This record gives sequence, structure tokens and C-alpha cells, in this order.
Amino acid sequence: RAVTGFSGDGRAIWSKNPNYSPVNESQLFLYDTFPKNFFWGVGTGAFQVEGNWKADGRGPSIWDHFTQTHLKNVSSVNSSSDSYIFLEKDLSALDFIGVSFYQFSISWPRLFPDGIAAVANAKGLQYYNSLLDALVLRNIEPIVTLYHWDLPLALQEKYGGWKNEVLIDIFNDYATYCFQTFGDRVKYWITIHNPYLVAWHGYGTGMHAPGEKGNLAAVYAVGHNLIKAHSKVWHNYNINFRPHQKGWLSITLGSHWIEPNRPENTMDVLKCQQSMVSVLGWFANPIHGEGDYPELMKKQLLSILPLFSEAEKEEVRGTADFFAFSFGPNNFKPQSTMAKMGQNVSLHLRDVLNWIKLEYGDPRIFITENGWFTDSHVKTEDTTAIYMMKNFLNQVLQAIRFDEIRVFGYTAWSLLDGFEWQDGYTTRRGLFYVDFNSKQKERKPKSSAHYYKQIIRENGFPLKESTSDVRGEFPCDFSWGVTESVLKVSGYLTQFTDPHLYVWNVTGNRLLHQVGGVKLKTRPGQCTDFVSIKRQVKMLARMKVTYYRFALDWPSVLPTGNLSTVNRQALQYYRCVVSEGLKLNISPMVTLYYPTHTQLGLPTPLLQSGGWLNPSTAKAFQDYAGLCFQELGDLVKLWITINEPNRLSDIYNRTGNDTYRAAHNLLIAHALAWHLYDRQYRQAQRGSVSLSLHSDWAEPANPYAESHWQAAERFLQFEIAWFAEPLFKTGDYPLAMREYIAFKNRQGLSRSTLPQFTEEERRLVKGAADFYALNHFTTRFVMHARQNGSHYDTDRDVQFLQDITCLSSPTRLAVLPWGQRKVLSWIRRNYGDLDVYITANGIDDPALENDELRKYYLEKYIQEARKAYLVDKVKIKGYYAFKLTEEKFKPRFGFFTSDLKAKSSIQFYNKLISNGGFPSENNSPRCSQTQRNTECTVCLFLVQKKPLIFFGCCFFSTLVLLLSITFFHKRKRRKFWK
Amino acid sequence: MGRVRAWFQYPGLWVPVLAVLLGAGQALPIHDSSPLLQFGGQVRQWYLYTEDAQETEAHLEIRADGSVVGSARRSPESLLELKALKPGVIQILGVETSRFLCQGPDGRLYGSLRFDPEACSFRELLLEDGYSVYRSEARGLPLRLPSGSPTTTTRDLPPWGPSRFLPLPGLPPAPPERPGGLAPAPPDVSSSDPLSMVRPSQGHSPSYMS
Repeated sequence: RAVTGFSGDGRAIWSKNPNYSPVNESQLFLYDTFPKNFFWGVGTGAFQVEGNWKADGRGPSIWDHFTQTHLKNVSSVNSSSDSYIFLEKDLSALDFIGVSFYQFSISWPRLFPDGIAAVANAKGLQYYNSLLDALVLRNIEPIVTLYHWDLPLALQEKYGGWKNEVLIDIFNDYATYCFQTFGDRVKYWITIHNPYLVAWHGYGTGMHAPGEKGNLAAVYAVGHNLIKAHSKVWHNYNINFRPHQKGWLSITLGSHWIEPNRPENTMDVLKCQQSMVSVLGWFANPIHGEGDYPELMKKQLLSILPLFSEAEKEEVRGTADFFAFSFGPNNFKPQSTMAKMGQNVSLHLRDVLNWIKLEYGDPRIFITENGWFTDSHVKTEDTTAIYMMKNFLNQVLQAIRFDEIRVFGYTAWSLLDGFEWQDGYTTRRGLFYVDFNSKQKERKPKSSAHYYKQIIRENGFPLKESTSDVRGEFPCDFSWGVTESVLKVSGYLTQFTDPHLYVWNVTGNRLLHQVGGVKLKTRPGQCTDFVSIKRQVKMLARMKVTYYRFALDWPSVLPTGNLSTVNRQALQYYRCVVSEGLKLNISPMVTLYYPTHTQLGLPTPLLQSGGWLNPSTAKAFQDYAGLCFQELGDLVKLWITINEPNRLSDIYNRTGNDTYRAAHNLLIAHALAWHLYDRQYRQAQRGSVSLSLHSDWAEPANPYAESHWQAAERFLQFEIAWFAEPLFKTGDYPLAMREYIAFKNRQGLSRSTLPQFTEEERRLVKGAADFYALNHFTTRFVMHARQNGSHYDTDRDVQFLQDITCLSSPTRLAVLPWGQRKVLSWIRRNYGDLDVYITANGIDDPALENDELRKYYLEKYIQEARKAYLVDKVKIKGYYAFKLTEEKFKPRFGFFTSDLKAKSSIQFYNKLISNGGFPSENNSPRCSQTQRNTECTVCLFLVQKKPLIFFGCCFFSTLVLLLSITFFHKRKRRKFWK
Repeated sequence: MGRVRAWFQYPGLWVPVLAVLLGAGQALPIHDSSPLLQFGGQVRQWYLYTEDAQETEAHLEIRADGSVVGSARRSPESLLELKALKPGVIQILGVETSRFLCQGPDGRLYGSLRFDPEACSFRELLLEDGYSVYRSEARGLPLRLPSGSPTTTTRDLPPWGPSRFLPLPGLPPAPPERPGGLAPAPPDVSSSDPLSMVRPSQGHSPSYMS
């Protein structure tokens, strides 16, 4: 019973860790198992599930009364899940999950109708005896709570309930009876479930039975009596029963968690401490701490808080054999009466466990209640509950493995749907669904039951995929690139094309004055004249990439949208970007059209005539593409016509028909451009042309729901196959998409229709791409959700779910590298053995210098691309990291900040490139890099010493000339002499 | 004749020379020595701030009509370029109006499009408190703002204002972006989805955000 923790130590939790890193192993989802013999179970409260409050001589409890007087809308209390009748069904549910314990509570008034432990109600006694016997038979450890809020009404009416000290002895008598009667089979006892809620809501807010409110003195008197009752029962058990029953006993304490608004602010941290202390510390300090209320509480409440005498302190102190802890929604309700102190509530279970460890001297912790709730309309597909459980449980695992917190058991709450106290039947917390209006009250396993079952079977979250690294690298001719969005033409060559003569500073005001009547010869502009290109090239050189993907600005090249006005300056600018890159061995991949949310990127006249809704835009695009092929095609071998046409749906979203029409025209535009290249330029230029499709992977959010599997595949059909199927396969939209929209039409939920391809269009589109280019960023968890409306988004009937346990970026992109490998395989499976370019892959990282998230992302995603290449034989030809620079006040996707400062991921990417995608450090550089480097030192030498070499050569040749003249002259003279 | 013959007789001599000559003309990456880049560096721009005995704040402002006034607020016209002519002597140029700050023989200030070394050079004297006093290099008169309302200044002989100025850096750099992103919102604990996991839309594509 030695206490080593000190009240107030818990504050350390809120101080900021200076070494915090989002990608630190201890912060990421932990793939590991729980300790051997970890205790897995589920719990119920008697009043919530038993029903039958009048059956077989059960007496009324304060909650029966409270429901009738205060919760008028709740009609079917007396039915609930009928556990009292369907004991066998509960047992099969327990069998299904495979728990090692079942935590239930004994209904005090079912045993003793008036609360006084005299003669037990035989039927009630029989029920609990058969339950315990059945559990023992199944090797399921019973964990029994004596008091889960259903106080016999008689005790409330006669004595005023827990306000009266008399209850302490009455409760002790009831406990004694239970120990005597059930103690042979029960090794774990919980005296009281969450005394905080009993006192605070029963007597403070009036939200719980008995529904008294406003009397703060009563609240703390009740708390005081509950503590003393527990302590008395513990001593009773310790002296009279433990010697032969050899069990353990504790009290379940519940709490919320809270985090400071400003972690660096000591006042905020103090308020958080106060908040925790006044809820959890209220009961935990006397029982698990020093036997008295926390100082912070005493200071604040003064005389309202009852006093413990020294003898009582000694009596109360250490009266728990383990720390039984509850963390669930009830401690967060209602927000208005929570002791938030202006700070932020939080669901970080791991932090609370750490707080308990620090405050109460590293106790053994048993989580006797944890979980969240779903709304009452949710039946067995409780998808959010899965992720809440995954989140809570992984935090427990992290606490055990990283923080060395001694958690030895976990109770998922609850086994069954039931009566949810003040919420009646409006929320559900069961792993099993129960239709309360049915007669038979069948227990149907929800997704969360399947999930919990799996976790118990595997004893946690073992890593399924073998981590053993794939050997091998990307080939030497693999193109390593970086992507940039539209390059705006900046800087014109006016100073060299303007033939006028100027005088500067003629009046001393440093302005230019044109001299009339004089015209000068101009020289053609040179790439060196564009200052912005120099900056680009410098950044590219630092990236050490071999490919640079950037996009042209259509309106800059063709301001009128047709070939009548061609902006030669713009074309020259882009040509310079390409040629300057090539001088550094950086080849271009040029995107012709790259729309964004801020700029649709169409020349104004085209925009005014309907943009992509107008079929003639496709023809205009063909002309534009032709011009670019003609002007830049000698240098550019990789062309992307359109970037992510499959996400232009976000812009053309007025109706579904708009979206599909625009997509149709985009497809035609691409196909026209491709055929033009194929016909006129391919032979001479030998390049290839495709379009980049946004290709995120989709996983079913709920793997136990068939509808979610279908939704995930449907999402891929609507997102990727929509464009890929016509181009790479059939020349028509995917059948699945056509059928689903037709299905929605029939149901009257959508009036959308997909355009039809004419026979000519079909021939045009089919096969009109030389490789598959994908922009891949993340994996989406997809849910089925029936929707009404004639929009692209609603036609798909999908919703998205963010897995909160997964590392993700500020724009909520989840880092799920395996998704990239899956989508690559999916593409290969559906569209054949194509060449594949990953034309954009990246993440936003809030850090401006040390962008660890980006480094982590790059490493993992390139690793998966390598697996796809080496194991799945996907013909990946290139990888382009997204992206070179970012803009101010936009998500931070760049390797360079908006003011062009380099981030540390650049070096990391350098290393990955030089190792062929292999992350390890001691890999010797491969490929012809060494050779190229020596070559480059030679050319560097030549470049640097150009004047010297030139002078040397001149000098040398003059010397040779002179010598030869002298030589000839002498020979001639000798001849002459002869 | 022999010279020419020798030239062609020994191709080993002239071929490398030619190669080097051609190589020199070939395209190479842009060099740091681009003349344009020399103007890339920022010229320091300042406001000349002063206050009188009544603590009225003023910034020296050169207007397009050539008048020089004190304005309570910073304006484009009060942004000045201070450039050293020789040690301790500077010229002051209004950035917006391209007029030099000059001083007439009577001490009156005006903005001139022409730079007159006699009227428009000032000697800068740094005071201990960080303020500076500027005196006309030729005339020795201190640079002072005319006090009173700006409309009357040019007509009557103005009463003089203070002569101490504090150069304040112009165009302060835009506030740096916060190094971290926004803190996540606290959970909505009254909801069955307190961490807002379920969303109807997948959000914008990163490609479309830039």
C-alpha cells in the first residue's frame, strides 16, 4: 500500500516535449501485441440490460422512478434487452467474441427489494447464480460490480439515499451477502461504478437519478459517503473474505481528459490539473493517494468539502487492489457542467493513463469501461465505433509498450445495446445490436463485435504484412522527377527587343528618357535574359532530379484561345525552361493543361463560350497542343495533355450532367491531341503522350460490411475507370458506372446521364494514350451512403472516413503507403501491362525547415513503388515527387517554401535518388553516376578555365606556326645553300 | 604558301583548337554573372519619422507637385530612398514621385526632379538616442519639416518644426508564416463521431489547391 506518486506530478503530461516528432515511432499507430495473458472482456450494467423491473419480486430502484418522472419519452424501460430473460443469448454473444472476462453488475433491488440485506429474493438470486455458473463453465472470469447506480428506491425514500451516512452500513451488509453467496466464483469485485457521476449528476445537475440538483453540499456529502462505503467494503472483504476467497477489489473511477489551450502557459496547465483533480482526484486521491481530498479541491471548495479525520484518512487510504478506470462518453456529458476551466476536452486515453501513473504511483490499471456510442438508427454497421475502438485500444497499447503503464485488462463497453441513462434509447453502445421493439431480442453482432473478436484473437494489432524488405532497386534509366504546377511566364525580353535608345538619369532622377529619332539594332533574346528561369534551374539542380514536370499556361500562349494570336514570348520562355534544364541533364515532362481551383486555366474567350461544356473547346485544345508539339517537341519527349481531368468534377459540379459533359469533352480533347501527335509528330520527335489521372486508392471503411466493399470498388470506377476505361480498354465509359447511374435513375434518386460515344468518338478515344500516368496522394476509406441528388458526388453513393489512428497531414491526407502499391496493381490488373509514370506523389507538411513528415512519406511511398515494380512487375518508368515549390498561405506541399527556402527533405530525396529508391544510407552510389560525375568534373574544368584554355590554344598554335615557319625557312635556306 | 600547307599538314594541331573554340560557343547553364542579377539586391528604403513638442507624429513626404510636408500616416509618398554619396553625406529620393529632397537657400524644402548636388546633399549626424539630424551639405541649414497645416507652408515663411528624425525601415517584410499548422479542433464529445471521421466529400485534390 505504499504510495510513490505525488499529487500534482500529473501536470508534467501537458508540458510540451521539445523532441516531439509526428513520425516518431512512439506517436505512430503501433503494430504490436498486448502482453501475454492480457485480460479481454466486455461489460454491462444491470439496469441497462436486464429489463423486467417488476418481474419475480424485484423491487423498484431510483432509476425506475426517475425514468417515469423525468424521462417521459422513454417508454420501453421495462423491456430493454431483457437480459434477465435471455441469459443464454448473452452467453452466446460472449462466446462469439471470445472474451476472457465478463463484467456485469448485480441489481441490488433484484436481490433485496427494499435494499436491506435480509432474505434475498429467490428468483433474483437464482438468476445471478446461473449466470455465474455458466461463466465458470465457459472459463469466462466474472467481474462483478455491486453498485451500478440502481439504488433500491426504498433506501432513497426512507433515508435520502447516499446523502445519509446510514447507507454505508446498509451497503456493506449487501456487499457481505454478495461475498458470502458469490465469492466462491468471483475473484474480481468492483464496489461502485463511477461515483463521480452518481454524486455530480444524481445530486448536482439532476441529470441522473435521484434527480436532485443545485445543492453542492449534498454533492460532496454523497461523494464522501460513497468513498467511505467503498472503503468499508474493502476492509470487510480484506479481513473477512480475502483470506479464503483470494480475490481483488476496487472501485471504478471515471474521468474525462483535458488539454491546455496554450501548452506553454502555466495558468492553462494549472487549470487542466484542476479539472482532472476535481473529477478523478476527488475519489482517487483519498483511495489511491494519501487518504484525503486534493489540495486544489480543498482550496476551492473550502467548507463545502467534508473533512476526513486522521483516522478516516488512514482507513480510506489504499483501499483498492488495482486502479479500475472508466473512460467513456458519460464523463463528457453534458459539456455545460463539465469542469473544463476554459480548456479543451480531449479523448487521449494514453495521456490520462500517464496522468494516473504519475499521480498515483504507477498503479496496476484495469480499464473497466471504455468505448463510445452510436446514434440509435445505426444497426449492425457501426463503422465509427470500430475506429473509436481502434483508436482507444492502440493508445492503451502505446501506453503499455512505450510508457510502461501497467494496464492488465480492458473492458469494451458494452456487450449489448441498452438503456443509456439520461439518453434513454437514443444512443447505442453495444457490440451487439438489439431491436428493443422485437419480442425475441436477438443479439446481432455489429461490425465492432467482429472487430473486437479479431483483436482478442490476435491479442492486439500484429503486423500482418511481412516487413522483410524487397531486394533490388529501380533501374538506372528510371526517371526521378519533381512536379511543379503551372509556370507563369515571368520577365519579358523587352530590353533586348526594344530598338529605342534611352538616356538614364538625365535630370538626376534616375528615370529613363527615350531619345527620339534613333533606332538601334537588337539582338535576339536569350535564355539568360530570364531571371526567373535561373532560379528554377538552381532549385532543380539542388533536387538532383533527372526529370522536371511543369505545366504551361494556355492563356499566356494563346490569349485569344485560337492560333490567330500566338504569344511567341511565352513560347520562348517555356523553351528556355526546357533547354536550360536539359543543360543540367534534366529532361522535361510538359503538361499542357493544369487546371486549379483558383484558375481554370482556359483562355478567356473559351471560358466565355462555356469552357469545357462547349465541345469546340476540345478542338481549340487540339490546336494549342499542336502548337506546343511543333514549338517544343524537338526537346520534349514526355507530354501530359491534361492534369487530373477526373477531378475537374469539383469545378463543373452544378449538375451531374455538367460534370459528365465536361469530362466527355476533356476526353475528346485529349484524344484529339494524342492523334495529332501520333499523325504528325511522333515519327520525327519520338515522344509519348498521355494524361495524368488522379488515382487515390480506396479501401472499405468497414471491412465487415459488404456494402462498403462495393462502395470502394464503385469509387474507383467513378474516379479512375471513368477516364481510364475509355482510353485504355473499351472506348466507352465503364459498364459499372453506367449501370449504377441507371440504377439511381430508376430509383428516382438521380437524373444524371452519361454521354454516349459516337462510333467515331469511340475509335478516337480507344487506345489514345502511350502510358498510364497517375497522381497518387493517399488512400480513402469509403463507406456506402445512399444519397439523393443529380450530382456526380451523389451519384456514387459514397462517404469518406478518416482513420484517426493513421498518420495524416493538415489537409487530412492519410499516410498509407501500401495503398499506392494496391492502386498500381489494380491498374495493371484492369488495363494491362502498361508503362506507368507516377506523375505526382507528395504530402503537405506544416514544417518549414525540417519536414519530417514529407521525408517519412517519400521513403515509405517510394518503397511501395519499388515493391510494385520488383514484386508485382508493374512497369513503373518514373516517379515525380509533388511538388517543387509551394505558395504562401496554401497547404505546404513544396520542397521549397513560398520564399524559395530549401527544406531538409531535398537532401533526403537526393539520397533516395542516388540509391535507386533504396532508403538505406550505406549503399554505394550506383549506375553510371560515378562516370557521369567524372565527366562532369572535366566539363566543369573546361567551363571554368574557358578563357585560359582559349588563350593557351592560341598561344600554342601561334608558337607552332612560328616554329614551322622558322623550320621551313631554315630548310629552304639550307637547300638554297646547297 | 608554306604556312598554309603547315596548317593543313598537321590536323592534330588545329582540330583540338577548333573544338575548344566551338565548345566555348556551345550552350552552357546560366552563370551567376548575369548582369541583371546585380539589381536583384534590395535597396534599403526608409521613412523619416519625427515628432514635435506637442508629440504630433509626422513622416516626411515628398509630393508629386514638389511640395514637402509632414504626414501623420505613412504613405507611398513618404517612402524614401537614402543613398550615400560619400561618407556621411546622403541623397534622399522620394520613391513614389522620383523627386529628390532639396533645400532652398532659405531652408525651405522642396522635391526636385533634378539632382542638384548643392541643394540636395545632406550630411547625416547620428544622435545618441538613435535619431538623426540632417544638414544641408552646402548651406549647413538643418533639415526641418515645416510645421502647421501643409497648405499654407509654401506661401508664407513657415515657422520651423523639429529637426530630429528617426529613420524607420520601409516595407516591413510580410509576417513570416507560422512554422506549424493549425492545432486540431477539440473533439465534439456530444457527437457519435467526436473526431469528425466521416465526411461526405473527399476534399480537394492537392493538384487543384496550388
